[in-house]
Amino acid sequence: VKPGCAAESPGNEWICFRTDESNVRYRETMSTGGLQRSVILSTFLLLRAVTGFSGDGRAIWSKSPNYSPVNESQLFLYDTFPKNFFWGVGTGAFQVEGNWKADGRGPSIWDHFTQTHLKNVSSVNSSSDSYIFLEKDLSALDFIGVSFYQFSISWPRLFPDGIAAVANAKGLQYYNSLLDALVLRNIEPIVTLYHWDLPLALQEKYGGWENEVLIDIFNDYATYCFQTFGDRVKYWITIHNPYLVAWHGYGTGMHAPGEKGNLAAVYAVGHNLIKAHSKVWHNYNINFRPHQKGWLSITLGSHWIEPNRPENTVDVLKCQQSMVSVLGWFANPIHGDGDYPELMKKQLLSILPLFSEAEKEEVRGTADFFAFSFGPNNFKPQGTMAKMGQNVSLNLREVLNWIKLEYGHPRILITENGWFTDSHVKTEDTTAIYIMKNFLNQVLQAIRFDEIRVFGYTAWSLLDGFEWQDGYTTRRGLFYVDFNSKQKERKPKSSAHYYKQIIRENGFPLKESTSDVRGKFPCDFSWGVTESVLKPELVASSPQFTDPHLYVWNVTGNRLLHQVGGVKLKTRPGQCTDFVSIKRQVEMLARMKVTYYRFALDWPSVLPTGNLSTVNRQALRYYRCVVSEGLKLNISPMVTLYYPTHTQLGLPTPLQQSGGWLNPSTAKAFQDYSGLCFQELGDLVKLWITINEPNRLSDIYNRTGNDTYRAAHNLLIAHALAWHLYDQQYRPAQRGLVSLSLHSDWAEPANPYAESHWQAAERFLQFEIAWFAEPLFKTGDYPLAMREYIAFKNRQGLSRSTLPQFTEEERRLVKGAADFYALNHFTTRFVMHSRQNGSHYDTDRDVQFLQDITCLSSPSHLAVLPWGQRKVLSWIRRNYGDLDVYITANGIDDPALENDELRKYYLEKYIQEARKGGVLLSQKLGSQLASAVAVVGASVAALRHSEPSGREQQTGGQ
Amino acid sequence: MSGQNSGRHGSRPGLDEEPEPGPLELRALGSTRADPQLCDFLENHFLGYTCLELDICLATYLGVSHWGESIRLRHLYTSGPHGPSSCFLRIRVDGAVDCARGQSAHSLVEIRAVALRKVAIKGVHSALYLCMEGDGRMRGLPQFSPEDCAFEEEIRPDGYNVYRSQKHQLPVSLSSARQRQLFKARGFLPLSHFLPMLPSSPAEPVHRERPLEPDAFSSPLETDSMDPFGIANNLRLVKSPSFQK
Repeated sequence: VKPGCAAESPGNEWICFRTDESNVRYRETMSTGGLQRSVILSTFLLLRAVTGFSGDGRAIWSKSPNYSPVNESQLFLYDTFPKNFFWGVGTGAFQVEGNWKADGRGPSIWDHFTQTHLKNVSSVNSSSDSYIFLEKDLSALDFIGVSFYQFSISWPRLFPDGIAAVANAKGLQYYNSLLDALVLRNIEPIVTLYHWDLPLALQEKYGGWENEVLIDIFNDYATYCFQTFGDRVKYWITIHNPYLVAWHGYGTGMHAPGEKGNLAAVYAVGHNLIKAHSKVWHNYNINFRPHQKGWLSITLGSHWIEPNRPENTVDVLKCQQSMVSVLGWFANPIHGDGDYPELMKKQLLSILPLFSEAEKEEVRGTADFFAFSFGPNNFKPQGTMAKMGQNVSLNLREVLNWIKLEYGHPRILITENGWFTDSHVKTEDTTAIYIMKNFLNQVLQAIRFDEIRVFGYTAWSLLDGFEWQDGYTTRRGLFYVDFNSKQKERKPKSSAHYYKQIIRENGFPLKESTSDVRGKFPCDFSWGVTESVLKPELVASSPQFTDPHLYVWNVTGNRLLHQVGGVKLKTRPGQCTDFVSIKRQVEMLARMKVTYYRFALDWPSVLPTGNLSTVNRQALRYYRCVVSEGLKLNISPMVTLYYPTHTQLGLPTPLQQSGGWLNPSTAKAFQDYSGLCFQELGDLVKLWITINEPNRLSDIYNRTGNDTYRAAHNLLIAHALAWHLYDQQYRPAQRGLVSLSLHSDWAEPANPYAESHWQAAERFLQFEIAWFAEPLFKTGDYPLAMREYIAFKNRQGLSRSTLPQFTEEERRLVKGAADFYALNHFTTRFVMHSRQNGSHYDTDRDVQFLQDITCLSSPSHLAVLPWGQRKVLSWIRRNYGDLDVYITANGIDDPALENDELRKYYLEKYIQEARKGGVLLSQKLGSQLASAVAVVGASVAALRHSEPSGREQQTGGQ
Repeated sequence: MSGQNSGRHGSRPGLDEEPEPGPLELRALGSTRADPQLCDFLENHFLGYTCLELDICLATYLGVSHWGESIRLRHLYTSGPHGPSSCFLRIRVDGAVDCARGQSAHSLVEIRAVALRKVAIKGVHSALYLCMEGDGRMRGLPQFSPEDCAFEEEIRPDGYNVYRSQKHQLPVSLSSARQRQLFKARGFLPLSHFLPMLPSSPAEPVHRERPLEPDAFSSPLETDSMDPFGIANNLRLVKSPSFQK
């Protein structure tokens, strides 16, 4: 229920492999000798670790969890970022520049590695060619409207053999033009000196970062860059994500130089990278900062992790260990106390190099801000991650909080964030939008609620490019690049449009006034609750007044009643009070102060044989009692004749056996049944719903699309027959209204930048709602859009479905056969186009749904989006004109037994929205909405436990 | 846990089956067993251990990696067609595969990753692999075959897992032949959604509140996927709270 990220859920536990004690214990009983040794070793280490140092960051997992599903600080935040927030986008030189051999550039370790290890990467030269198409990159930056551009300098392009002597003129010219162009555009450059493309010569001659001579060589290169570019660059990043350099370069061998399993090398490389950074910082601090007045840091990357059981200290400790061994490895020396984290030192013992006291002093505090990277490279592949049996999470807000606690509330620049798509995704990167929305809202929450000092954000990346070990199989650009094309045009993806909009609005401001509307609903607005099928009580609960026998008591002294034979007394006629359940029910309704009560009759109970040959009078008497007892308390009934559900089709058995709704004669049987009900109850009931959610029977009659459409056809006819019967025979005397309730949820395009998604959303509404509404309220025929789309699918050979034809007589019967529009509205779905094959109702409409994780939703995945209700109301008005509208069900599933916070929140917001819809609609509809019934879809049973929400309706209804 | 000591060779067959062999062999580096070179290094470094044991011990020792997650011991729960009558997948010693009413040693299975998103399921008691026959019938076989006994593990949004056979294009299911025939057209087989449940050791009773009622977003993060939260999963059914009672 909690919005944010899936990994938070405790449900993960049973999917992941755990190494907590229960598992260890379990293994001990199962394992062979060899395995036991490892168990003992791990237990030993665990004990040591427990007594170890604990960072402040642990508090994140230990803080008292707030389980409220509607806690404002957890919900999507509509707000803006601080003024002057730094919006940017980033690239890495090796990923986008291309032209590895052009103009005197030297080879890097990645050129070599790609050739030797990444054989599937067809041509390394086919990249986005930023080296050639500088102007195209600048246009892309202009399009988004960023305040900074983060790029890296290719070391071997400046110095082919790595030694900062004479710079390669062409390379120098490229970076000078780039910087000049940025300054001209008022785009702040943020320059990374080392994004993994080490000159190959340094690897071959010295063994790369394993050798500490690299520290001085790197410092020389940095000095040159400060001297040459420092007049225009105010933000410097020394190294991008040193964790990945050391871990994948020397541990897993996934990155250049591709060494595997050499733990000593892993930590030696890390050690040298830290020292190199620190040396460069001091260099800049002493020699350049005084006149250049810039800032310098190192980008540190990390994953995030959550404990299996937040209350379990061992799990929490493992999470801390996981974070410390990745982010803490570099952050603790640089942003912390100058040394490696205690937890790491205890675990790695002699493998971890030592800092001397002087070195600690030298390393400590060598960053002017915390540059943080949070992206897929720290999460892939799963097997190489420091999970410690806990749950990996993408909760950016939490990791920012961890940094705040561990490193003393630093200023943070997010220097890389984003996700990736598979390479087949071109410009329509819908998932990327939602991931960006999620990440950015978490950053906003961190700033606004947790007071984290984030001052800038880098969306990664500007362009599609070379994605390291993934080659070209994944894409991370905001701009799509066809690598096989000559011109390498940069085409904005949906995510580029989305990011542009966020930058323009500086966050997520409220688009329209959703401030609460004060005031009251019109006096004659009716409030109610709805119940599904009410099973009739067939035997009066007390035999006292129905037993005609005479008894004497204690004749023989046995204190028993003795029946007197041959005597029959006159019994009292039946009364409604005989049904004890009605009393309880009506009392509850009275307590909620509703004025309407909607319930459904049970067709099989009333007519067990399906026809009028057998009428269960007792059932009808029961229903009449429910109605009349309610009326005594001024609670008007709204009666549904037929209310099928997923588990109960609700047809009399003989009808079900003869084909149910696939059999046209069922429609006639329904007419007879409704006639009986009108006759027996119509003097008291003024609002009738013939069928509840006939469109949902598509889930039952789903063998083929044709079955679904045939059943729907018969349902429409059944409703129309009942309506005409009422209209002709009963309305003159009874003066009531008859309609049917359509399940009418709203559909919103998942990707608002994709035309196909807009079409899919409209098509979904046509298939869902117009399917029934159009014949009744408009044309007497199925919607043209639906007919045409199915025909189109037929032509494509993707479906053999056909919609039934209305005969001229049927058309006349159906058209106009409803006195108002009744809708059951629960949620809004995000819809996208997805071409599907199969002759089914579900596949005919070619839609797929998307779950917006930033949005509050119920356990059954229903999103709480109150504005959807207003949108569906205006869609109905637009399509079917000024109708009376009755909301016959609205609500949400909330499993809470006592305090149903989610339901309360839902009702409050949706009722607000109905009101706003009313304000809007009243101009067009006059006072028609005023007569609407908002029947809340919470069952009476649930409301029994939820006094507060009951009160809410009560205040609304005053 | 028999079969573990087969070490790095235990998981080879599955690797040859991988449908998309990534841009490089490194893709499979989720496990040391997949990499002889790394494996040799580790075996030499920690004399006397097999590589698989090292996966676990090294991971714990370093505290930096967790290579050992490829094997899980679970009970596979599936709910019956008529309400929540409980059913745990059981691979009998004679090779028959059926429902056990409760968790027991006979329903304990070992789920082992054999390739990207592909698993082998083996009965701990019977030491037989769960395999699929031509008509979708399940059988326990002593010999692992990558075609018949490896299944694509797909986590559904409701938290249940589906194990799909690539060869037979059918999910692992405990339904009868008649049910399979009946439901073929609908694309859904009864008794094919499994909830992997942690075995409860005698000393620690199961946490009752959890596994049976999966939470809304209980599917784990798929960090190898472009859609890590599974937001665009193929959910086609439109549900209404008033219909889906």
